Amino acid sequence: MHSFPKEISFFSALRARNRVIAALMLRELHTRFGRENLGYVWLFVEPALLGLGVAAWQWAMGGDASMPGGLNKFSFFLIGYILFYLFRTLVSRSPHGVAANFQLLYHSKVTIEAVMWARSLLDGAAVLICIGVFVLVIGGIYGEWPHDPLQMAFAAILMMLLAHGTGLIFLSATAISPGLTDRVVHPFTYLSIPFSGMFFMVWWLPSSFQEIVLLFPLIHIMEFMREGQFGYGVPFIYDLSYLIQWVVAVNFLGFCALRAARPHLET
Amino acid sequence: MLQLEGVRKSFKKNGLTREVLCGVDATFLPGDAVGILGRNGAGKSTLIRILAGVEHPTSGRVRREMSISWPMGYDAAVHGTLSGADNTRFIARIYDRPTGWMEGFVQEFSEIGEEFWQPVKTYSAGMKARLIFALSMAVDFDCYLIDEIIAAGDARFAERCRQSLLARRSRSALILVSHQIDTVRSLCSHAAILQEGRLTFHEDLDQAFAEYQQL
Repeated sequence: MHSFPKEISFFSALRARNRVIAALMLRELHTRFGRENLGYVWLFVEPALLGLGVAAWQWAMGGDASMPGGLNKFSFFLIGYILFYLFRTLVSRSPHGVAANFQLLYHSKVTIEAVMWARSLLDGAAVLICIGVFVLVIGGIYGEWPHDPLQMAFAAILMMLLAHGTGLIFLSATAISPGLTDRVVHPFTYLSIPFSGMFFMVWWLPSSFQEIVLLFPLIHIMEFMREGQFGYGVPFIYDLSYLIQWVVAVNFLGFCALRAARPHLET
Repeated sequence: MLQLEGVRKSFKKNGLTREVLCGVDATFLPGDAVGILGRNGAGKSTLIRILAGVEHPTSGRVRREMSISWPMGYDAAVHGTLSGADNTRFIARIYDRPTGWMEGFVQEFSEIGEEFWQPVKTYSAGMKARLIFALSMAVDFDCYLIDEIIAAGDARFAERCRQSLLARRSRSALILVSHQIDTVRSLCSHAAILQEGRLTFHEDLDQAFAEYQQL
């Protein structure tokens, strides 16, 4: 009399999951952007404030707009900051991924993996748009257009994936020992600033330092981004395969950590 | 089918581990209407949250082969800053139901009126309960999990909930968690008692009630 649902195929399960992620993204847009509050305006305000700071510094130093190698100062700091912002925002909010979204987990179709994906994709998209807007602004002011916009977009996507995996690890660690991770995640994001290349390029450093900073994946993304941004005027030092290995490893670790942490996830 | 196999759940608090469920086995089939009775603190809410998939067992397995509702009786299924309409569209999207149809159904069934477009946090407890119940009816689950829903809302709506649930008893399973015998008697065909982390099933309601009263 009663028929059980058939075993669902891999592809229909994937479709169902994508539908849930799309619905979660729309909802997150609504809650953050809202009908009246302007959550995403801050995404533009923060780097714009930094831009004003750089402008003030440039004025105080006598109006020279160029960096070592003749790179545009605005462009250098603004895009670098926005790219690091993506990492910082995804990682620093990840420990609260469960507590902030516990209502969603009451729907058996919604998993914590889907919630985290929706957030990463949404922030990734927002940062891509933000980079696009500032690229247009810089192009409009200085007449300097990016060398390879697609490479810049690819760099932002790699940053999103790296931050997503790192966020999963922090989320799982929070579930297992709540007090500790909360204190570790902020120092972690601050300490990663010097290794992110936000304020410097690898070729400025002596070669012994270069070896050390190149152990960290963030700097590879930053150099890759800057190659797309400025082209071939100066040396860009990165290893794409090393970076992709990091991204894959971190996401795999995050996936395993989340499985291990699942019995500890509490709302 | 919804099946639990050797489900255990323990919580750590201040270094002490407390085992709330110590090996629960159960099978629920479409058409079952089971009332789970337990005293306060017996682990009823933990059990229903594990059934719903909100929490995962410390060990053991949960197999879900039918669509399972969120546990009704909590406000958690809806988001406070979004309007009733936004919540409805979101739930329609996750469960793959037509959004326009679902908005119409929920607005009519819940009798919320114009406030359907206001944020849920401005609703009264009764309105919120009506919205959540209407949403669950619109999704049309194979299995409904209910945690003392009948307490919220006015008597007339409570009666409508009861009638709607009874009307779908032939095709949907119903799992009701309660500490009140009357609620279980009005909706369920058999009962189980949750005590000391274990679940004991009784085919006969009166026998279950008698045993429950002895606890």
